[in-house]
Amino acid sequence: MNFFNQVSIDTLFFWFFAAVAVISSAAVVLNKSIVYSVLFLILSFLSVAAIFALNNADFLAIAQAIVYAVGLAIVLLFGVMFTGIKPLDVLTRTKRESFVFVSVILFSVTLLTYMLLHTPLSFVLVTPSSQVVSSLAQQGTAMLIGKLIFSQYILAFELASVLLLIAMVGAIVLSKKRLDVFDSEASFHQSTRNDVMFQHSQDINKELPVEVCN
Amino acid sequence: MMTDVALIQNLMLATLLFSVGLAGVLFSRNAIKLLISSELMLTSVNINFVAFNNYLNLDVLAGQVFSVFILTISAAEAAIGLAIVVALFRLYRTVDVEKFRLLKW
Repeated sequence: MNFFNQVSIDTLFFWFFAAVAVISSAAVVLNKSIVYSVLFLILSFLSVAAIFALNNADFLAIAQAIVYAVGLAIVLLFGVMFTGIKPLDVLTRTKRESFVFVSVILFSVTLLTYMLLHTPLSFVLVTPSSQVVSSLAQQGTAMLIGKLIFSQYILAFELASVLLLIAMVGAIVLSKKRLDVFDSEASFHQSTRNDVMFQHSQDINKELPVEVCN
Repeated sequence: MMTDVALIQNLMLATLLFSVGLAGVLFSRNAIKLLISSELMLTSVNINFVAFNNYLNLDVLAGQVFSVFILTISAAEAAIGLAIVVALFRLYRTVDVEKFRLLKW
């Protein structure tokens, strides 16, 4: 009872979902089968969405769950189906390469933990003010985010829409069957060129004697 | 409201997720798994944005707006990346990144 009095339920949720996120991400990387990797990725994204919700970002939590855990994972599963599920070994390269990679990862982790440990404690151990939290809990974050997007960040919003359009067109063109656009264009040009040359040579054959006579 | 969890726990979680994603990018041979690992790294960046916004300045939700944009761009990146992987699979009949050595001297 004493333990549950000291630790709030949100803290327990945070540690639970953090552990699930880290373990499922490690499973994503370490799993041999790509299908299981994608399924663990869904679990990792959902637990990250729970952590967003614990950080007073309810709209972003739902967006994460819909965009990542449903949309992106299904697109990735389609990609797996298109490219075959033959398992490829992980971590099987030469010894020198794996040494370099492990040292890169260790270097980045030590750098980041050093940075975290040497920031001032007043900055790192800060907690959000309860007044703002209670007002957010009443009205939610969706309205505030919408107001910000459509006033201050309107240029970035429009640019993002243009980028999504470009990405959609690019993905369709790239994944067309054997890049038919270029093949058909090339064959079209080739055929017309041959026809033109053929006609031209015929014309030359006809006209040459005339020109010679002149 | 989390009273016992401070900013640093969130940052450490993001660091762990980022390094796991970095390890996935460096070690995996499957091109789709490269994409998945880069999505993991982007997610950890999102955790950083949301946590900083939550703990330092909750009056203005600029960090959450930024992570909405990151969400958009990562979705576009995944679509383009998958199209490239599918096109490469048509060409080479594999998704092993070790086999794509057209530019490797």
